[in-house]
Amino acid sequence: MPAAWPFVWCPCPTRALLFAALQVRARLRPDAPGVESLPLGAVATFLLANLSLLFVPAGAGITSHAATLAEHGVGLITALVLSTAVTLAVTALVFVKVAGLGRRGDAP
Amino acid sequence: MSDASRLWVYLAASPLLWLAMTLLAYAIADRLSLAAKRHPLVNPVLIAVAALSAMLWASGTPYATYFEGAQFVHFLLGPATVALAIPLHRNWPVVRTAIVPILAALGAGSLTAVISAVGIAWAFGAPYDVLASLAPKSVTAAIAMGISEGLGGNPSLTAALVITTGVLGAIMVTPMMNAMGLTDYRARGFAAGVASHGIGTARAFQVDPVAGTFAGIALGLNGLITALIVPALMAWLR
Repeated sequence: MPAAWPFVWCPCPTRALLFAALQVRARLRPDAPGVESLPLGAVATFLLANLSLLFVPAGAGITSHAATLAEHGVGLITALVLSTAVTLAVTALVFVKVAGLGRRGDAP
Repeated sequence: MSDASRLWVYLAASPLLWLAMTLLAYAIADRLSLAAKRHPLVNPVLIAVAALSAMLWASGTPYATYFEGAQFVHFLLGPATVALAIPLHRNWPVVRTAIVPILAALGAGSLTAVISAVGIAWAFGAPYDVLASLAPKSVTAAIAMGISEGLGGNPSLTAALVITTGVLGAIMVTPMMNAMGLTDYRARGFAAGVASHGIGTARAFQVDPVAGTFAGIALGLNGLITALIVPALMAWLR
């Protein structure tokens, strides 16, 4: 098993921190230009527009695990395909239904 | 030694060769995706990964050597995750009014992702360690590998399952949502983020900024919730 397949730990707390800073900035200086016009905004927009690129190095490691995937074969592939489809459907339907309840204001 | 192979030896000594190859493969894949008007099947991650895998195989390059160069791109996943704060800030008025549907869809989607995957693989007779490796497949790779390791799974199998799930979700989300007649980009994006983490989020940003914002929220929250529910569910299975 190739050990070298490193991943960075989720920097989600840092994201919350940046979000909080941006909210405070908008509150304190409501007339300041929006963050999208700052260099920070430009870099972030560029990174997110090319988010696919950032998964390529990790993705290229799949080949070294092709044998493991094939070993468990049909079961794993079926589980991945069906589970992904069902999860997409359930998540989106629950979102739309609950959002609809809220809008009518007669949620049970 | 021919001139070409001498050039190869020179280039191969530098990790920057594989950095350049990664960027080149992505540039071509993204151009193809654009030319196909972002058709879901022409997924840039899938095309670039297939091209690079073929190059690594043809040149007999070990993945570790490749990663020495590609790590500079991989590193940007951290800054990109932080950058998700910017669309969240920009679309905050829309997000604020959707807190209840976000929490409801998160709970339902998170449970569905884990239970359906483990249930199907279990029905196919997969052993416990494979089930533990599969359970966190819908969350971002770093968190999924941590969960899998804690449960006695195989983190590197988990990483392969996570990436495959991401690509599957990114390909399936648009045609599925269209077939279901769902036009709400908040719901479509959120579903992409819950089912297929960052690769689904990348797809969502290609389609619509609001979808991307909601996918980014789902990506962050689902990592947290899955880390809480998977150990509880797997304890029950063991």
